[in-house]
This record gives sequence, structure tokens and C-alpha cells, in this order.
Amino acid sequence: MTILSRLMNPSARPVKAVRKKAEKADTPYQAIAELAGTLRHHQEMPIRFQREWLAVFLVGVMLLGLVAGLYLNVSARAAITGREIQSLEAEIAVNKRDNADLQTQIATLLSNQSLAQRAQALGFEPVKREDVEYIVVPGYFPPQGIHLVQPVADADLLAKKPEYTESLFEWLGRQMEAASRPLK
Amino acid sequence: MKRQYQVRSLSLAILFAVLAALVVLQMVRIQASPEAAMFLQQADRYAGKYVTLFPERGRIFDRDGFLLAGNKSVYEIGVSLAEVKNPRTIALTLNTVLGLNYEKVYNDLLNPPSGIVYLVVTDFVSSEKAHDLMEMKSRLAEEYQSASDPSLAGLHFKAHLMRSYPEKTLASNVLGFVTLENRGYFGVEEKYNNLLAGVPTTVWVPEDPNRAAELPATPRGADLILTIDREIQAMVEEQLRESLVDTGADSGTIIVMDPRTGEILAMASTPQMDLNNFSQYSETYKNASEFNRAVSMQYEPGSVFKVLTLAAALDSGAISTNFSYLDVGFYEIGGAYVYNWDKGAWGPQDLLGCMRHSLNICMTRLADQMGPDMFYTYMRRFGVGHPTGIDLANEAKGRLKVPGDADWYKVDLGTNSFGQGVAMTPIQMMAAASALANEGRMVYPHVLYGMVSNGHQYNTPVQTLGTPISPQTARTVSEILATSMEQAKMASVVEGYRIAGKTGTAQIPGPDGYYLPNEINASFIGWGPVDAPRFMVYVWFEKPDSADWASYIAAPVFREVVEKLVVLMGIPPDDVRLRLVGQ
Repeated sequence: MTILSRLMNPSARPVKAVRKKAEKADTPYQAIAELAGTLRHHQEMPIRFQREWLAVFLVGVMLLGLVAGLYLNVSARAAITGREIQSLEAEIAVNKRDNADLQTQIATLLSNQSLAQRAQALGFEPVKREDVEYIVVPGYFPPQGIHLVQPVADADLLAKKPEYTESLFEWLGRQMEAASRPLK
Repeated sequence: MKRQYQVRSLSLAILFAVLAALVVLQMVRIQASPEAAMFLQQADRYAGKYVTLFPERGRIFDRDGFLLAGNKSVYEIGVSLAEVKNPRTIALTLNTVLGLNYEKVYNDLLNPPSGIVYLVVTDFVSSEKAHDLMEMKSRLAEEYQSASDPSLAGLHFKAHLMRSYPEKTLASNVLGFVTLENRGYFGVEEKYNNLLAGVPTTVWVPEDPNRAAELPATPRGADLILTIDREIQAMVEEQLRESLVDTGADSGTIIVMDPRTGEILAMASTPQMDLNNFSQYSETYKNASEFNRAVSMQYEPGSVFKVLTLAAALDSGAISTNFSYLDVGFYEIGGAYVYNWDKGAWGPQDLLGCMRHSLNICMTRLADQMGPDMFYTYMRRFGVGHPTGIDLANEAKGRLKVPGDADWYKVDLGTNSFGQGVAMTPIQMMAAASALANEGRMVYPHVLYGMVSNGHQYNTPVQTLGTPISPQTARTVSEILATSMEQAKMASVVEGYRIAGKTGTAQIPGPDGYYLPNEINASFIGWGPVDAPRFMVYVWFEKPDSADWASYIAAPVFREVVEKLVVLMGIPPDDVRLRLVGQ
């Protein structure tokens, strides 16, 4: 805008060559084109004009850098999260295997053979038919069958539950509401 | 000078611009070329890999929740060839720790197959040994300084699960085993292989962490709960081992079933094997039918079959409970003579005498009075010659010759009536006899109590295979058998418990079709308490050499099993039970 305004503003005083070319131009666009051709001869430009161009360039570079930085940041975070997912998956697999190992180890320790050996070592012996005395225990009902299923949270449901549910507008609204709330 | 600098700058700028344009041009050219698809495929190949996720194999529990078959971690050991620093150390270590052939490992490392970058050396290494190797590897890595130092660099460990049987030989005939390929063989493992193994899932796993996502859940295989009672199973197996020594039999089988539901509480047959060492299978068994004789081995049951003939005769109305006859020592049928087991004449006999003395002539008379059509109709109703459908692999179906078959003769009606010339498995005999103990209803014998899948437990409902006889007939036959057993003071009588049962001594046909002179099958089937049966026990010894009759071989074993069984099942003696029920 600054360059264009200077071109259109007669009070401005660009270098002679540029001014002449710009004055000859029918439209501002032609003026810009003429000006761009002239910029090769930047040495001819005044110092202030050069600084403006440099500022525009630097702003552009900064914007590009900002976008690149944001992109890099988001990518890096996504990559880190991805690695975390991979390592958690591996950890889950290890835990599953450990769980299976421990269950089998417990079962081995509680196997019929080892329990019988331990009982015998402790001086116990199998009960004989004639040693058993049967009594009625009022209110006692022997367990009917076995139920292996335990009530557990649905793992799939838990995994698929989204961490955030509010939209960007909802978040903005919440922030604005929080900002406008009187201080206590 | 200034002008020259400008020309140079411009030349360089043009050069770089041309180069950049060429690069862009080349990129466009490649993407538009016919090989583009191939390049994309190649890129995809390195962008990730397809991984097959095998679900953990389902566990198997007994009816009280004790683990009979689970899983444990084992390791695949491989070598990343590019990382190897000292192949000698690797070969020597694997030789020492795992017993692998030193020369082979060393040569494989030095001269791997072409194109191989990762060499799998061995698999299914136990956790203990794998951890020893891992520890050695890290210790050597810490001490490694020069190329001549020992190093296990390049050795990699990949854990996975394999089947494990904590009870070792217990219920091995029922469980079956799982091979290294994760396929079940025999028993429950084979019958329910698809359920236990679950459904493998193949997923694309990208190398790029940006594209990493949670792997889909791979549900484990279904867990199975068996009807087997671990304590009863252990007791039966111990009894079987002892009895096998006492009787000198080639093999033995004992089954315990709940006749009300068909649930198999214990099933044991010899020989047995430690399922963790399933590679011993070929050394232990000569053929597949030996793995579980209770369901896979058919034989001529002999006199235990008489309970079916008696039930059929009574139920069909061919005879009444007042039936009597004069036993003269032989009976002619189909142009041939049938004799009693002792070739003797037993004089006037009634149904009690028939069963008490196990008279072949009596049974032949009953079958003859019924006629072939009626007799075989009843035998078919009892399921003779048909598999029971028990949920165990490799069930044999038996053989019942019927009129119309090329090899059936009228005399077969006589011999079949006392259990010769007919082939059955022990489980078939139990299923048929369950009608006698269960108010005429034949139950479906099964070992699956329930299945746990996706967080739900599904229990097997009680199923009946049919009602071949009336409840009245069932009660009458049970009463006759119990009374005859008591009158004969058989070795199968258990003090305090009223039990119905029948012995069976059967000759064994040789390869030429003639019966072997000195070899028998000794069986016993019994159930009790007679007024409210809770167990049915079948005992079978093949070729015992301690005695010639089942009453001396199988009947005492039946008693010993029942004496322990009533304790384990908490069944009080009849008088106590009736008193407690009255309270």
C-alpha cells in the first residue's frame, strides 16, 4: 500500500526515473510493473524506499517462518504422540503376555498335583467315606454353576471416548464468558 | 567490476533456476510415467507393513474355575545380520544355553541365504532361557571394547504366546493339545479350535509416527468352561493308574457322568501324556483312536449291553416283569446255538436271575420274543451304531448290524442281545444307559459347561437325545439291576448306597474274525443312588490278565471309584440323605 500510495500521491518524491515511468503509466498496475522493472536498479532508490522493501520482505519471511514453525510444532507433537501410541501398544502387548504368564504360574502353583503334595507334606490325608458327617445348614444353598464373567468397563468404549467434545466456538464462548465474569 | 559482478550473479541465478526447473520437470515426468504406480507401490512398501495380530488363544477351565489350559510367553530368537559383531560368540552361546548345533548356527551366520537380513535361529524358547540370553547380551555389550571381544550384538528376541497346561497330564485325553502352528488336535482343543483360536486381524502399521493410530482391538479367543471336575478327574486318573497295575490290563477307561444332564464330570483313558510335551504323541500312541478310548475306541461291550435288551423287552411289552423260563443251557436261533457264559443250564429263571447270573440264553429269548424289527428299532432308539455327538474330536460311531445288511444273520439277533457282534464306544453305552437312570430320557453327553466370549457367558443347555423307553420301564430296570447286584453280593456294591449296575465280560475278535481264546474286555456300568441318580460310572479294562471276569476286575474298581466319588460330590448315604431331606 505504501508503494502504491506513493505512486499515486504527487506529493511523494520518488527517484526521478521511477517517477517518470510511473507518471507515464495509465493504471496503477502498469505503474507497479514499471516499478518492478526498475527495482533492479535498487541502488538508484532512496534509502527509505529500500528499508520499506526490506521490511515487507522481512514480514513475509517472518510469516513464512511462523507458519513453518507452527507446522513443525504440530508435526513434532503428532510424531511424538504417534510414537507414544506405538510404545503404548507395545506395552499393552507386554502386559497381556505378563498377565497370561502370571495366570499360568498361579495355576501351576495351585494345580491338583502340587496342592495334593503340599497337603500331604502338611500331614493331611484324603477323607474317607466313613469319616464324613453330613449335617443340614439352614439357609445354605450350594453354589449353582460357575460364572467367569466379571463386570468390567467396556475397554473399547473407553478407548474410543473422545478427549475433547466442545467445538472451537464453544471454547471461544467459554473463554469470553470467563473473561467477562467479574473478579471476586 | 560492478558490471562483471552483475553478470556473474545473473548467470548463477539462471543456472540455479534452470536446475530447479529440471528437478521439477523430472518430478512431473516421473509422476506421469507408466512406472509411477510401481514407484508408489515401492514407496508404500517401505512406508509401513502389514501385521497380522493373532488373538490370545482362549483359556480352558474346569467346572470350578481352575485353569486347565492357559498361555505362556516364549521367544523367537533371531539375528540381525548387519549388527553382528562376533558370530562365534552367538553360535557358542546358543549352543551352550539352548543346545543348538554350533556349526550350523555359525555357518548360517557367515553364509546366510541370499537377500536375508534377519535370520530366525530358533523359536519357542522358554522365558527363563531367553532372559538369561538377554542378560548376557547386555553384560557383554557393556564390556565390549575391541572387535575380538565376545559380543551378542545382533541377537534379537521376539516374545509371543504359546499353549501351556498347568495340570500337565490331568484330563489330557479330554483336552487334546495345540501344536506350534496354534492348531488344536484331539479333544476340546480340536473340537473348539475355531472358538479358542479367535479371529486373526491383519492391519497396516505405518512407519511414519504421524500416521500411527491405535491398533484395532483383537478380541481373544473364547474361554471355555468344561463340565470336568478337577478333583474327580484326578481321583479317577489315580484309580485308573492303580487298577491298571492291579489288573495287568493293556489299557483302561473310566468315565463319570451326571445322568440327569449328560455333563461329563471325569473322563480318563490310558495312556496319558503331558500336554506340554505334545511331541511325545507319536511315542505314546500308535493310532489316533487311542488318544481317548472313551469316545474313539469301539468294542464289543458284552453283558453291559444286556441292560438295553432288558429295557427294550419290557418297554415293548414283549415280556412283563413276571417273565420266567427254564434255562436248559442252550438256545437255538437262526440255525445256531447260543450258550451261557459258563455253558451251564441254570434251570427256572426270572428277570432277576437273568441279570444276576448274566444269562445269555435269557437275553436271546427276550430278543427272539421281541423279533428283529422291534429289537433293532429299540437299539436304534438307544443310539447304538450312531455317534452321540459328544463335543470331543474323533468320536467313533460304532456298528450295529441290522436285518437287510449283507453281513446280518438271524443268529446276530441272539448274539447282539448280550452285547456280542455289536460295536460301541463307552460314551455311546453311557448315553444309552442314561435313559435308564433318567426316567427314560437319553441325555446328550457333553464336556462344555459354558463359553465366555465378548464379556458374556453362554452355558450349554441340557439336551435330550430322545426318550427310548418310558419312565416306568426305566425305574423297573434300575430296580431289577440294583436288586440283582445286592443279591449277588457283587464287588460293586457300595455300603450305604443303593446302586444299579451291570458287569460285562466280552470276548475280543481276532484279525481272522474268530474270538481270541484268552483275551477279554471287562466292563462295568452303574449309576446311583437308584432313587435319585447323581452319577453314572463306566469302567472298561482291555485285555486284563489278573482274572477272567469283569465281576473280579471292573466291579471292584467301580466300587472304589464310587466310594471316593460320593465324598467328592457330597452325596450322603441313602439313609442319611432321606433323613436330611425329611428335616
